[in-house]
Order: sequence, then structure tokens, then C-alpha cells
Amino acid sequence: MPRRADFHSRFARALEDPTIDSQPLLGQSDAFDQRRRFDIYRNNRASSLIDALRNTYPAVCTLVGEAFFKTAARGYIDRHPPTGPVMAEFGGEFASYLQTLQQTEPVPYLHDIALLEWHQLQAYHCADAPILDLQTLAEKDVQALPDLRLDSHPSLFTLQSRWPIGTIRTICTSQDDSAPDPSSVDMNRSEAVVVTRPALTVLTNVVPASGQLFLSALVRGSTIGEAAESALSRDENFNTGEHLAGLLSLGAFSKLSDNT
Amino acid sequence: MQPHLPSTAGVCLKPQHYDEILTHQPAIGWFEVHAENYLGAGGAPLHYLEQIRNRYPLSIHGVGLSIGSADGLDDHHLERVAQLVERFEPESFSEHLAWSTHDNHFYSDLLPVPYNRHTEDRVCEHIDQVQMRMGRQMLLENPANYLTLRDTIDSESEFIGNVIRRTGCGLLLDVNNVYVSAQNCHFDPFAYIQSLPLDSVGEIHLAGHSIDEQMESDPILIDAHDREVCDAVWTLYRRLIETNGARPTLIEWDTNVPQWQVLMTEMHKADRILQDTCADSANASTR
Repeated sequence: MPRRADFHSRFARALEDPTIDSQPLLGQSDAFDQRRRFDIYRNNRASSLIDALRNTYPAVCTLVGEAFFKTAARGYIDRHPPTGPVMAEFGGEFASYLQTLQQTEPVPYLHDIALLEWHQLQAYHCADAPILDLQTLAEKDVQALPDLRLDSHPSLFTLQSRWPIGTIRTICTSQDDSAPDPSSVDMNRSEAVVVTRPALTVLTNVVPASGQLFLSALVRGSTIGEAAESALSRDENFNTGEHLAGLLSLGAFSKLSDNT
Repeated sequence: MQPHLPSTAGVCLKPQHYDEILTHQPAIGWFEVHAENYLGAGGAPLHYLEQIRNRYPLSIHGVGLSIGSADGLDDHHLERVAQLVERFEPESFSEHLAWSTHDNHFYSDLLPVPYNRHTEDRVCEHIDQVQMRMGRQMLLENPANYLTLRDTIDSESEFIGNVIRRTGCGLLLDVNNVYVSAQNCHFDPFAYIQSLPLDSVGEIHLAGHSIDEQMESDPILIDAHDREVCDAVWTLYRRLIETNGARPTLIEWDTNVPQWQVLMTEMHKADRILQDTCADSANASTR
């Protein structure tokens, strides 16, 4: 009798490579075609992993179409197979992988859309944490505000894209007529997005470039004053109070930093 | 004593139904979730599971421990599942007689185990490890088979019987799996059920299957969990309950998840069979 580890290795290899004959693994049967039965496992594996990627990347799927999405997903599964059974943790390299495919060149924003969708999923499952509200900040001495640092909420993700990715994603995933008409979108317009999850629902908001610079500086550990300077270098009319209040209302921060 | 699920019908818990359940708090015997869908750090899944667990009995069903692995269990994954079980204290924890991980690759399917002395030892070791870590009995689910394996020496029921005797685990009897295997591999499903250690049944699964009819001469039943339970499986289930008595029974529906009412209709069908059997046995005992 062959050793069991041999069986698993041989079965696994045959699952991954359809050119390998599965017959040596299978029992004798005159009643049915065992090889054809083995293909069910090959199909199940591929289709369940493609489904998992489609669940995580619905806008990517809409942009490239179902047929190419399946081809890309199969290629991804070959190169980055899942190492564990938690499907919410599978597919983290998909954005980078898509960028390596020549066929995605006509969709230059695909990488950023995929990155956004991955971080929306991370925000959905991330640890619960308190939200820093405006009231807590208002209780501080106004003079001290510029020197404060803020801790990001675990759900926070922000990206400055060269393309209008927030709008594109809305168009791709909207279930109703509220999304803008795709033909009306200026594809040369850049957009910055902020992903947060202040309670149970993941929020995705488009913010001005200066607001994104301000937020990125705070995420890197700058003080409010330093972050505001960075934003003012982009937009001399940048209103720190207004942007800070906006970010707080989105649940971007969990607390005042201990380093303050 | 370890808590038990009630011997009534339950349904799988799906995110599409969270609001419906919490708003209307329907009369459901119990809910079952897949452990691997609740291993995130926080957010909506764990929030809703907690709300629903506070109101209903719960079963946690693992789909990724890979009990039939050759390599030994993934300690990290076992630890995560065990912590979920500790947090929610479900009335039941169950897993599959199957493998899904090998050499650090997850194959995203329940793959078949050949039945022989060597595999029996490994499956027993893994179940011992799970039960030791969780400090409780687990239930082991019989698989849906599409083929037979050259390395198999023992019958499936003999294998399951030995594992249950050696580890003290219970049996999660999936009647749809029995039917799917019986049709695919050409055996009598009820004779198979009768050859199992039925005293150990702690839970029953019912689900729908799809049929691959690409080859007319050799249709293959696929354990898809994507539709209503078929008539033949209901008939088999009724015979099982009449023979063996009422047991906690789950309606599984994981793909193309239907409207809540459709799931309820299926659950009520199972409940009626369970109640009919209870009524019959009560009448018999008063005669």
C-alpha cells in the first residue's frame, strides 16, 4: 500500500495540473468513468477560488468582463494559491498581478480599483475600535491643537489615484440609477479616496487632493499643524478645521496619539 | 455536561438574512455558521453572530481544518477556530471527513480520504487534537463522494465507525451526501445509513444538489448546496428519523442563497417530519 503522504501529494499535483493522469489514484470501476469524476474536484477548486476573487473584486470584474476576469483569476490562482482556508484573506496580490498582464493596459486604473476593493474588504473585517469625535478634540486647548497627533482607525485606507477611481467604482457596483453616467466621467481627472468603517458599514468617500495630503501626513504621524502645512503647500485656501471635522465624521481616527 | 442542539430543525446563517432574523426573531430551532466566515478581527459578521447567538442555539461548522490531511493540522488555524468556539460557546462543533490543505496549499474543496489503517490513524490523531484543544466532543461529517480511490481498503461506514469508537467523536450525518455518494458510486443509501453507528448521530444535514448531465449515460450528482432538498433525500431522511428518532437537523444552502421565506419553507418540512415521528413514538408509548 502506498504511503498516505504520497497519496496526498499525487492527488494535489493532479488537481493543479490537468495534464497529469488521475487514473493511478482511482479505484477500478466498470460502471462509471472515474477520470471524469476526478475533473469535478479540479473544477470545484477553480470555480470556488474564482468566486472568492469575484466577491472581493466586483468592480474589477465589471471593468474587464466575466470572461477575462476568469482567465486572470486562473492565472492568479496558479501563481498565488491560497495558503489557508479563510477566503477573506485570499487575493491580496491581485492588484499587482493585474498590472503584470498586458491585456489590462487599456484599463490603466484597474490596479487602483483593485487596491481600493481589497482595502474595502480589509475594512469590513478589521478589528472594532473607538472613534475619535469632534467633541473630544473640541475639549482641548485651541493653542495645543497644532501639536496633537492622531491614531488612525484600523479600517482607514487612503489612496491618491491619477484616475477618478471613486467614481468608477460607484458606477461599476451601483445597484440603482444614482450612479453617474459613465460617458459623463472625465477620465483624466484624478481622485483621492478614503475608506473607513466607523460602525459596521464600510464607507468610501472622495476627498480633495489637499485633504488627502493632510490625511496622509496624519497617518504617517505628523502633528495636525505639520499636516496642515503640507496641505497648504498644495492648496493655499486649505481649511484645516473643516477638513479635520470631515475626517473625524468619517471615523478616520480612533484616538489622540499617546505621542502627543 | 456538554450542551446539545435541540432535536428540531435549524438553518444556516447567511449575511443576507441577518436583518430579517434580528427584526422579526422568527421561531427557528437553531443556527449554524461556517467557522471560516467568522475569523476576522471584528466588524459586521462577528457583531451579527453575537446578536443572533444571544437569541438562539448555535452550531459552528468548520470547513477548513483538513481533518484528513497527511501533514498534521495547521496549528494556527486550529487555534483561531478554537478561539471562535471559546467566544461563542456553541452547542455543537463539527468538521468534515475530508482534506483541503496539503503542503501549505489550500485547495478550497473537501477532498476525499482513502480508507485504510494508515489514514484511520491520522484522522484519529487529528480529531483527538481538536477535541483536546477545544475540551469538547466534535462531530465528524460523512463526505459526498464522486469516485472511489485505489488506496481504499475499508468501507466508509467501517472507517467512520472505527474513528468514532477510537476518538469518542460524534457523527454529523449528511443525508444529502449519502444520497449523492450512493447515486454516484452505485450503492443502496439506506443500507449505508444502517451500517453507520447511528447512536452517535449528533446532527443531520439536508441540502440540495445539482446534476452534471454532460454525459447522459453517466449523470453525476454534485454536492452544491444551491437549491431545495430533493424528494429522494426527504424520503431517506424520513426513514432515518422513523428508525433512529429525532435529531437536530440543518437545512444547508450556501450558493444562490434564497429569500428567507424559501429557507423557512424547507425548515418547516424538516420540522414536520421530526414532529410526526415524535407524535408516533408518543402514541406508541401510551398504547
